[in-house]
Amino acid sequence: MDSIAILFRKSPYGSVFVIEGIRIATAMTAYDLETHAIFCDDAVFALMKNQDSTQLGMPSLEPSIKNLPRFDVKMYCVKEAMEERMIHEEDLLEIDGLKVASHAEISEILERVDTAITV
Amino acid sequence: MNIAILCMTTPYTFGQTETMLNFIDAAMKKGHEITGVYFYMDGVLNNNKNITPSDKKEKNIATLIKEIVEKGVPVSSCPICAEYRGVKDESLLIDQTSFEGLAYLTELVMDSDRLLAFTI
Repeated sequence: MDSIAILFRKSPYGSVFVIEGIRIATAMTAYDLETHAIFCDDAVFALMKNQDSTQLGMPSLEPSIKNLPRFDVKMYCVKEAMEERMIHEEDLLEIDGLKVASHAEISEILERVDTAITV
Repeated sequence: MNIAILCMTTPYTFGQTETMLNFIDAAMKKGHEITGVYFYMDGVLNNNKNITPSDKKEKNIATLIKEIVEKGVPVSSCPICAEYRGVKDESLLIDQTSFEGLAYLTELVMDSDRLLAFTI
């Protein structure tokens, strides 16, 4: 297989799924697998600006998320998930190449990749 | 078909491990090859030879994993996930399994026709 999509579905900080999905995504690029990181459902919160996890006693996910394009991970934030949560594009982190994509566009990506992992 | 398996959930709390093992059994009987099983996140808790259900009628996950290893399926666990969960100890691992980093999972994905992930 040459390509993979990692579907992020869970909210950040409440569990380790987002950071573990980021680990998987970066590992896949080490062998030049075409890697897509798709943030949908509550995972869209992981892409919001001004995250402050200080009171949780946990490191912020922002640096790890912002680093993904450096590993050639293509990033998407699902439009319908944003709308359901009243998140606007200007609320998102400024990440090079981050694309707000509709369900239809995401379906095309999932159709094209060889496999997908949901976290 | 060559199939890679990723397991991310704990034994007994969720039924995913048992489903995974049933799938592996059925796939191998149909002639498919299981290129490897990778335990990740809480899934590393499956790879423990000391698993002992107190209800003897309950299936022993460790025994079932040992059986697929004996059939030639490579089984490994993420060492970092194991470290976080206090189980990064080779003496705990089911015989003939190992700790392997995420690069190993990437290689499994590259060498397989399909990846099946058991998660929540």
